[in-house]
Amino acid sequence: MRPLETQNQPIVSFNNVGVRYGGGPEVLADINFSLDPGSFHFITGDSGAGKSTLLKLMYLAHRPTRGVVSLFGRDLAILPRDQRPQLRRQIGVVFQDFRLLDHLSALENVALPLRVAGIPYAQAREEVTELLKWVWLADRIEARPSTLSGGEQQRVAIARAVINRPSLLLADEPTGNVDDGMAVRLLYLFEELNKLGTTIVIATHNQALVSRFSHPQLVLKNGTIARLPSGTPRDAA
Amino acid sequence: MARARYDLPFTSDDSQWFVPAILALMVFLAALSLGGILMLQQTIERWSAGFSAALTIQISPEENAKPATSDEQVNKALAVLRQTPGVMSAEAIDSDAIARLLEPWLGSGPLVRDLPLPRLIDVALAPNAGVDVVTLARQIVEVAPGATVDDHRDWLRNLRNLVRSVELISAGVIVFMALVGIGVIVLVTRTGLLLHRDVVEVLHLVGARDFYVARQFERHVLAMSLKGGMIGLALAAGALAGLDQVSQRLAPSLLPNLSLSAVQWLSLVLVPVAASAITVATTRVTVLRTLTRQP
Repeated sequence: MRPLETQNQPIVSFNNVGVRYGGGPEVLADINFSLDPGSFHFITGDSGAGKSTLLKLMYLAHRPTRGVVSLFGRDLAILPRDQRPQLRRQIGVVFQDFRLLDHLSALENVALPLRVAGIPYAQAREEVTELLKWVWLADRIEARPSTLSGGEQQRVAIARAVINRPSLLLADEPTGNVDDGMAVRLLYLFEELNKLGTTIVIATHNQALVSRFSHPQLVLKNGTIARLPSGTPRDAA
Repeated sequence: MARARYDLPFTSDDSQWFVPAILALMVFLAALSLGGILMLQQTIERWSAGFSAALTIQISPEENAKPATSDEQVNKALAVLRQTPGVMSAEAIDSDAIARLLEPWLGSGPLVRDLPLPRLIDVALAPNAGVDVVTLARQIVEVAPGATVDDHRDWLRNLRNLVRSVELISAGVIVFMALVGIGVIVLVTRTGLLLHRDVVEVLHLVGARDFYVARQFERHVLAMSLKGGMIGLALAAGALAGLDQVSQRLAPSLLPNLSLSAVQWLSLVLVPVAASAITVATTRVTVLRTLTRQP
């Protein structure tokens, strides 16, 4: 199997990508950019600009209607189905709606990526407990998601996204359900991960929060890229 | 807190009781059919073993013949039989014994004594003696004209044909039930995938392979089908044991012995095991095929 991450090539690459749902208009059109390994980017734009759709293409929940999306140097259009899980294990995702499994405890939710990778529960438990402490949930380890507050659920979702130390972390409005103080703390947490080498992409419409950090922004407007950060190659080809 | 057994919330859907109920019914009917086949096979084997080493010679009384003539023919026939290699024993059944055999149909009045009943000779052959029944019959007829030698082959052949037909029908019923069961499991599995599609999607997004998802369904279905299968087997075992008891009480001399041997009882245990194996395989194929069609 080819290594997922290769030196000197973009970790994410979009080339002339367009997406439409059914027979409707394109919700994303002519998207061209690439992200280097170890970078930290915000994707900003108004609601409905296409931020979530862009992230869905990156975490393989959607296929583009046209164009080429490549992750870790692999063209997703021709990636065999049996190799997709291996690629997904390199990507951590914080969903906008958390997507925690209600019948599992916080601990079991966070352990899920390890379990599907074949790591025994007993082995994963210590690591998961440590991570839950890191996101200030040490006392909520056995709690079901339905008994957690929005902010606590968000932190469980973040812990699940980073438990297997992904090369690429995608977060869709990760601070949408927390107060400003917690939002800043979460962003610092993402920065710590970035310093460890994880490529971070955060979609948010919270401009006030984005402006507190110096990371480049990719601005979406009506499904097209309105502004690329300086130094970001537009042509991924 | 106890660790969740599955990543999918199976306890919240109806498969929890539906799969065991279907499996219990399938296994009950399949075990009954198999038990019936085994009983028939055992009966035909017992009869075959009994009759293949036996002959019955019937000497019909000649019209207006004296009883002494009949006795003379029986003695001559016995003499021929006792000189024939492979004949272990040859015993004439006396008139009283014949009358007792006919008692259920003709009663025990003096009329029976006056009837011109045929004389019977019960012949036991040595196992694998290879007695030439046609030659023996010719020799018997020479000393006792009107005698017939019955080696029961025609009767056994007809009985075997009947049993084969019943076996084929029972096997057809088992196959039909298996096909219906497979169809039901396919539907239940597809419904489960639809019901839990959000969770399946999350599993995929955190890196689960299709086999991982399939294994979750397999484990759940295996537990459910074994539970249902054991209930069905218990019900079928009770029904077969009851049938055996009833048949023994009803008319032990007329009905064959319907008791199953220990090995045959053990073979019935394979029914829920086979049903569970089919269920698990069906679930696996259904999950994998359904997921492969998804993006």
